Amino acid sequence: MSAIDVVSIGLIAIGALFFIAGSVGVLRFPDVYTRLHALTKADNLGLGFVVLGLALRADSAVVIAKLAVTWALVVVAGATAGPLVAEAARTSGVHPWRRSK
Amino acid sequence: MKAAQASVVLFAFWLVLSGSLNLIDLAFGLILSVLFGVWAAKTLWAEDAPVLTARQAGQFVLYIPHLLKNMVVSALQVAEVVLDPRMPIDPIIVGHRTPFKREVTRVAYANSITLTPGTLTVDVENNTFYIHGLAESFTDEIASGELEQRLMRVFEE
Repeated sequence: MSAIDVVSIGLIAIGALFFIAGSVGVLRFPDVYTRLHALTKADNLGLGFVVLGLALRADSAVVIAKLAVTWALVVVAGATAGPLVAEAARTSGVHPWRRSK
Repeated sequence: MKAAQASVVLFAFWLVLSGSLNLIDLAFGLILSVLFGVWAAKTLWAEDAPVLTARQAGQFVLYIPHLLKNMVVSALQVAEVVLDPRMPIDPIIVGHRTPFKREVTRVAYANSITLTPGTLTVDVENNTFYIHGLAESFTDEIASGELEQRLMRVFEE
């Protein structure tokens, strides 16, 4: 295993950890709004690390550009779709969870 | 003009994704880019197109590192909260009025809030943004107005 393999595997593993954290958030958080926090934030960085890890293994600059564009697209789509889901929940009357005092 | 600008961006996107200079691929990409460019200009951007001056485009590039930093902090912070057994959240929704004049600034602001630690845009009514925060300390940062000043500098100066 070359040094590049080691770094690449490490980056992809870190990415996977953020995906796991995001998924745990979806399970543990109490309502749709808090769950969207977990999805829109942890997954962005998770995919960022996976993309970095894969970029190290890419055989051409075009592939690296493709990975970067894919990541940017996912980030923008997440930041757009998250508020849309939240707005739909709000207009259909879903009350946000509050910590009972 | 709007349609031409949109088509150029879409075609560049096609070039990267297809990664091919084959004549048929190029022709397909060109036709699709122009069709979608015309559609976008006629419907999505009929009133207020997100066209930037050269200076604004430069400001936008300068804004990207700040956004990336926020995204990293957001992910770390949400992962920490999720993995904490006590799950220290105390969610709140706050309204925040902004002085934006352009649609593109509102879109960028709503998206930026969602990428900022602990905050999520849930609704926009005219210029009032309703923001869900995992705790009040996160929405305080929005209320300080620093983010909207940044975006005013990028899109409205």
